[in-house]
Amino acid sequence: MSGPAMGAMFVILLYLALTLSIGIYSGRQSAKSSEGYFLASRELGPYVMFFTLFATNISAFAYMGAPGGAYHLGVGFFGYLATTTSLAATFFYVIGYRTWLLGSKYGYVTAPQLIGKIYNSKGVAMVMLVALSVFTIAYMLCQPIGAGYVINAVTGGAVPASVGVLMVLIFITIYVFVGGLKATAYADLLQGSIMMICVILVLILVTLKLGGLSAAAQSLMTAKPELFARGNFSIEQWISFGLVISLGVPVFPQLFTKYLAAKNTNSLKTTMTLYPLAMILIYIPVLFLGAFGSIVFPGLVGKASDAIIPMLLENFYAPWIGALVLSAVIAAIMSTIASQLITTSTMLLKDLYIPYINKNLSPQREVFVGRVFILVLAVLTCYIALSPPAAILTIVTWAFTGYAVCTPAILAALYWRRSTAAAVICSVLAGEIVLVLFMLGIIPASVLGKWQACVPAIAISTLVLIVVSYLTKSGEEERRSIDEKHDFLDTIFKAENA
Amino acid sequence: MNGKVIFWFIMMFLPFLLYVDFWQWNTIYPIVFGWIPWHVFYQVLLNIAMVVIFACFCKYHWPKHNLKD
Repeated sequence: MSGPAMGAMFVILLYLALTLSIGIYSGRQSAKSSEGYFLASRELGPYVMFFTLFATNISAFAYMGAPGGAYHLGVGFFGYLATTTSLAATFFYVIGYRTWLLGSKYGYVTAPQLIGKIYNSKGVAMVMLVALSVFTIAYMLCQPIGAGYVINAVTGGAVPASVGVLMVLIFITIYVFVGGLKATAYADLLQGSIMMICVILVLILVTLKLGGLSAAAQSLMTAKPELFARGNFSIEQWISFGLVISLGVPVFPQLFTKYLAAKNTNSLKTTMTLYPLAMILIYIPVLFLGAFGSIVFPGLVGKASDAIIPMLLENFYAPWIGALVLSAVIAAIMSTIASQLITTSTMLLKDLYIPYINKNLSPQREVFVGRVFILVLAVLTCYIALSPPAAILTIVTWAFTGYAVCTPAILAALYWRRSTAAAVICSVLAGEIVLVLFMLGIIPASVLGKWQACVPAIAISTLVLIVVSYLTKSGEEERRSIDEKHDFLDTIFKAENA
Repeated sequence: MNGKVIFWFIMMFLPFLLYVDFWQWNTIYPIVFGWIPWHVFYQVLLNIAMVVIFACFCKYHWPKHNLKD
C-alpha cells in the first residue's frame, strides 16, 4: 500500500474505531433489560433522537446516487429529494406522537406489534411484519457494498471492496450486538454530525478550486444551462415522488422504533422542527457538487457519475483529505445498516419468535435471542452484499412504494375507530399486490403515462381500507381493543381541542 | 373540528401543496446569491417555512399528555 493510501486507510480506521468506542461505551449498560437493549430504555433525548432519525434516514444514496443524479438531471433534484423528506417530518407528529403515546402506555416495542395490538389481531401483526421486514432486509443487504467501494477507492484499490464490506460490517455488528438501540443511536449522533460537517466541507473545498460558488455556477450556466432548470422532471413525477417519499419514510420500521424510544415529547418536537434544516444542509452541497462535477468530468455515462464526489476530491486534493470527507459516506451507510439490523432483529424476536415459537421466553433470554438474530442477519448481509441477486435489487428499487402502501392502514389504526382488522389486512395486501403487478411488468408501466406506480398502489390500498371497513364488522374482542386504545388517545386529543 | 384544529390542519397541509410549484417550473432567474436558481431557492424557502410552521405547531398546538415524561 502506498503512503497516501495508508494515510487514507488510517483516517477510515480512526473513524471506525471512534464509532465503535462511542457505540460500546454508550450502550454498555443497556443489555441488562429487554427494553434497555431494544428500545434504549425509552430514553432517547431530543438531540440524540434528531441525529439518529437523520442519520438512519440518510443512506449512501445521498452521497452517491443524489449527486450522480444531479450530474445528469441538474440541481432541480433538490425539491425532489429534500422537500419531500422534510414533508415526511410532518408525520413525526401525525404518526410518531400517537405511536409514542401508545408505546409508553402499553409497552409496545415494534410497529407490527403496535398495529396488531390495536386490533387485537395476530393477522394484522403478521401482515405488517412481512410487509415491513421484506423491504427492510432487502435494503439492508444492498447497503454495505457502497462502503466497500468507498474504501477501495480511497486506498487506491489496495483494499478490495470485499474486505471493506467485511470491515464495516464487523464494526457495526460489534456495537449493535453489545449495546443494542442505545449504542446505535449514540453512534448515529457522531455519524450524523460527520455527515453534515463533511459534506459542507467538501463543497467549500471543491468550489475553492473552481473559483468560488458564483464562478462555478457561471461556468455551469454557460456549459450546461439545462442543469439549472427542471426540464428533466415532469409535474407527474414530482407529485408521485412527493407522495411516495412523504408517506414511505415515516413508516420505515427503523424510524418507527425510534418514535417508541423517545424520552419525551421534546424528542419528537425537536426532531420534527430541525429536520427540514438538515435536508437543506445535506442536499444543497451534494446536488451542486454533482452538477459542478459535470464541468470537471464531462461525459460520464450512467452510474459512473455516482462517484462524482470522490472523483472531484481525488482530482483536487490528497487521498487523506478525500478519506476524511468520504467518512461521511461510510457514516451514512453504517448508521442506516445499524438501525436496520437492530430493528429487524427486534421485529423477528417480538413479532415472530415470541408469539409463534417460544411464548414463555424470559426477558433476560430476549436479549440473548435478539443478539442471535443480529449475528444471523449480519452474516447473511455479509454473504449477500458482495453480489446481491437481481431479485433483491428489484425489491430495493420498489421499497419506498412498499412502505408507502402501509401508511393508509397505519393512519387508520391510529385515527379511525371504524376501521377493522380485515380492512387493514386487505389494504396492505391490495397495495402490495398492485406493486408486485407493476414490478413484474404484468401491468405495464406505460399505462400510467408519466405517473409512477406508487400512485395507483396507494390509491387502491386507501380505497380498499375504506370499503372493507364499511363492509366488515369488528368482533367483540377486536372492538373492545380498538375502543380502549382510541379512548386513551381521545383523553389527550379531544381534551386538548375541546 | 374547531377553528384552531382547522387552522393547524391547513398550516401543516400547505407545504404539501406549495411543494408542487408548477407555476414557476423552469424559472431560473433571479440566480440567488449568484449561484442558486430561483426554483431551487424557492424550495429552500419552503423548507425554512416548514421549520417555522413546525416550531409554532409544537409550541402552540401539540397536545399535552398525561403520561409521565
